[in-house]
Amino acid sequence: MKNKIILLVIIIFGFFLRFYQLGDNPAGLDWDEASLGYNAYSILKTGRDEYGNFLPFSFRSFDDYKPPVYVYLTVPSVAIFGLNNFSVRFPSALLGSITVFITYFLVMELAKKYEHKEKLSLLTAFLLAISPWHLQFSRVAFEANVGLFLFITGTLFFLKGLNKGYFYILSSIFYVLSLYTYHSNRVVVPVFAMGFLLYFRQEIWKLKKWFIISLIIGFIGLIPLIKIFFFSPSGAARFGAVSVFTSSGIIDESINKINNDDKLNLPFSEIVHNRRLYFLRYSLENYLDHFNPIFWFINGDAKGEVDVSGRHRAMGMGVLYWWEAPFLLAGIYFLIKNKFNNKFIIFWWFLTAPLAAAITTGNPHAVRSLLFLPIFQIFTAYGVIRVFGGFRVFRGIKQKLLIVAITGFAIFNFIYYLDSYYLHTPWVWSQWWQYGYRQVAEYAKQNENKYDKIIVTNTYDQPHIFFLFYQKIDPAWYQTSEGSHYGYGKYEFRRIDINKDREIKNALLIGSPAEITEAGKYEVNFLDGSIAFRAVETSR
Amino acid sequence: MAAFSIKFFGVSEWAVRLPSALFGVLTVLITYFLVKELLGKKYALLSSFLLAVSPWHIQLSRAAFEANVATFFTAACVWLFLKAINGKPRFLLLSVVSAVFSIYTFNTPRVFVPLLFVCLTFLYKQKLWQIKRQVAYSIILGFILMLPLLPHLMSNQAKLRYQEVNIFSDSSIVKEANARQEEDSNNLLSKLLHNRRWYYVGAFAKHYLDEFSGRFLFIRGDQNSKFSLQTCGELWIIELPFLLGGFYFLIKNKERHWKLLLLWMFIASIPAATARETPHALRSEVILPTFQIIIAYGFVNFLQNQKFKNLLIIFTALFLLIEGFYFYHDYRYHYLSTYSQDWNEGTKQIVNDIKNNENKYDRIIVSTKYGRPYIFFLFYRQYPLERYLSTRKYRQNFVGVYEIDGFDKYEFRDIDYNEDRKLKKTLLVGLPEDFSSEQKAIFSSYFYDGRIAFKAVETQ
Repeated sequence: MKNKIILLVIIIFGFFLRFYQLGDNPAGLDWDEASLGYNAYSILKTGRDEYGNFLPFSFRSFDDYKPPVYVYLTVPSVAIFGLNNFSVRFPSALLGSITVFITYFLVMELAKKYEHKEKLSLLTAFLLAISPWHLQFSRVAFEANVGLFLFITGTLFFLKGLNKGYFYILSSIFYVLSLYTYHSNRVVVPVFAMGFLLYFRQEIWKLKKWFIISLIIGFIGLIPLIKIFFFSPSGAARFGAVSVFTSSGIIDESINKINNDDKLNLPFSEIVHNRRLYFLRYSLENYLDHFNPIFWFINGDAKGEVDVSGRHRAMGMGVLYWWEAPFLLAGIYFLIKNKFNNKFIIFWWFLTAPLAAAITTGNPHAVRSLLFLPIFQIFTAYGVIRVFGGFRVFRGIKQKLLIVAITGFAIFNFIYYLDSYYLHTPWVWSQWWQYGYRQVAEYAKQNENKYDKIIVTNTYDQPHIFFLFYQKIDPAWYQTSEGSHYGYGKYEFRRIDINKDREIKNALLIGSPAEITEAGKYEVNFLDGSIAFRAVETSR
Repeated sequence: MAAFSIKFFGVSEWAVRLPSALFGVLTVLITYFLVKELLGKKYALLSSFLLAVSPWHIQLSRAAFEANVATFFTAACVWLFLKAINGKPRFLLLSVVSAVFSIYTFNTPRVFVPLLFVCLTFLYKQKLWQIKRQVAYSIILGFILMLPLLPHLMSNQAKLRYQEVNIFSDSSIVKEANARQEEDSNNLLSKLLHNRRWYYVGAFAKHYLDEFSGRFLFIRGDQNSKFSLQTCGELWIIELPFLLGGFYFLIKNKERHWKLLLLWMFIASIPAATARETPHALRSEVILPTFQIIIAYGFVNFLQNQKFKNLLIIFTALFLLIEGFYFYHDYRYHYLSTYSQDWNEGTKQIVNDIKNNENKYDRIIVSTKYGRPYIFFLFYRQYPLERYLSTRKYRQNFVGVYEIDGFDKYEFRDIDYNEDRKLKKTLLVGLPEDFSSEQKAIFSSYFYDGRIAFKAVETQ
């Protein structure tokens, strides 16, 4: 009973951390979020996506062909709350909160024979509830977070299936759904599941009837995906754009070395410097990057000075708390050393989670390796229980002081996170969140009748989706109009050349401060006070 | 040391590199004895073998790097210390001598060695108490040996060099902390949350952890192409599982000296981590041979009670052989040509060519774009020291390092061809981009890959 109350408190706390100021922080929608939202709106109103495809299995979006689940999840949310920042993020925040709940049961199942399994499960759920990593992606409309929810739930049912076979069916449904949710899952889930199958082959054999039924169901579910991936030219587009196998730098290195060998008349140059070896090497490098404590604790996935990590973390910290570091190490050590029934599964999960990120470029990557969760939390929780349970650093009063000091530091870390996430990050990094598009789109909408033409800069990328989204353009009209990312109706999206564009009669020009250097009729600032957009009129 | 070597073998690249190479070999030997004391004979041979074939150690042993000699002395110092507390107390004096030598050899031991001795004292205080007379002698000896160095350590020069490279003089950290405090309207909590000391801790931790990143250790090595092949890590990839295993077994089995081994490893990178360029294979070289020892320990323990022991050994050896092949191949055929510029290929050639034509000119101006050319002229020509000292012109640059602007008829500076062409009877030696491409050269020197390194042009 007591544990149930604690769990309830944890879940409410997690729920609160995920929903508080959800629409306002992060400071704006990024373009993927806006695209997911508008496509959901389009499906809701017309049953078709922005390009007019009827209930697609893969959303073309910015030609990155997004997996479909998030869009369909957003349809009811948009129907209830209308089309706005909150409604787009709602599914992610809700499923993120539920992930905390599911994690409790997952750990209960994993730690079935462990004497402190209640403690371990509660602590893991709590650590996930306050995890900066999980909060970051629960508070934005990122498919990865839903993919994580489906993966964790699928694994929970898989474990349950070992005793009650019919859970295999649920597991298979969740796993397959997760493949339709996020690209990473398409690599990680099959590899993870293979290890799982081999490890539990005896248990599975006993209930093979249910297992075979669930395999058949899973396979039927996979047919559309196979069709997309192998039989349509667009299917592998996303993979091609980001994978190491198409990275020109790596292929060039291989070619240069082969040429050099040939010049020196060395034999077997094409075998020695085969590009596949270089793929392996750089995949390994990417893989190791995800086990770098600098990624975990210091910088997140920041790469150099300018990067996308502004969307992937709170300012001034990594994706885990500093205080967790010693317990993480202790947890890993003790888990290897001690008897713990399902430790193979935990480590297998830990080792396979960054596989998808490893074969893509731009590493480490906090989103593509999100499936790491909640393994870090399990390790840390186990470390905490071990260090404060059986294993004593000091005796008596010293031990108590140590506990007080560590708890104090943990609270300090948490306050630092909240301060960074709610005050500094939106303030300094609002540009990463395309702040200003909403204001400028609404302004244009209010005044559009006054002008013959409205030209908007594409300096900040993908303006059309933000204008469609914030102006709530009727999808039925948009699909049949000539509209595209170049413009629709009166709107045109391109670079602004102020000297030339000034000649256009009766137009509104909306540009970046670099393009329009004079004071604007209307201006939107980023939250740090620098100017985001300037709007000027041309003569009538 | 190089002076001895040059006395016997004459001024040549070979003679300059000999001490480093020799001490590299000796480090392999001392590793054997060290491990015998540290963990037992079982691991000694494998550890020293792994050091002998380590890409990190091979690369740094094959050029005249002071750090490589210092590494020998730190390893010897630990070995002698262990000998001393294991019943041969006289070795303590030798251990201290060895420690002082390493301090005189390179700069990171100036931080590392004192830290090491703090750890040693802390770990073995009871044993040291038993041989307190030797301890007292050693302290006195160490102090006397350190005396000549003290004025330098206290001098401005040492401080300036350190300030140039260390992270704590980086003003952006303070700026960032202040900006965060200001955004919180400077309240008391923000002074605590965004205290610059946290930011320093973060910066230090980042640089420290850089020294242990998988990218550095297993894939690319040091970014500086002098210190690594760029296509190979500092350790072999196949060593990764055994390194992790080594840590695990070491902590689990609580070997007699396990704490020393780990402490050595973890303090060795501290000096390097206070500098801005991390990871740095040279500054953290004193960490060797702890990696190899732990890998060897991991390997041996991993194989115990394994069903497929022989198969695993064969697989590992094969993997190592393939990696070794790539190291050799890249070192021999690619590294030489790709990075010959870093090794000042072409400089020797140009120095000799200039020497042969020296008498035709009144002035010879050499570009400094590849950095300090004067030393190559002195070295390759075996230029008489007295004549050099009496004719050199020098100044102190803004960080306090001496720059040589010229000696005799040589001037060292950047070439501005439009101005310098007006000079009479002058030889201009610059990079190809200092002149127009049609400009005819009297003679040129080349990098290994065929690009022009230096171009010598005559004025009217």
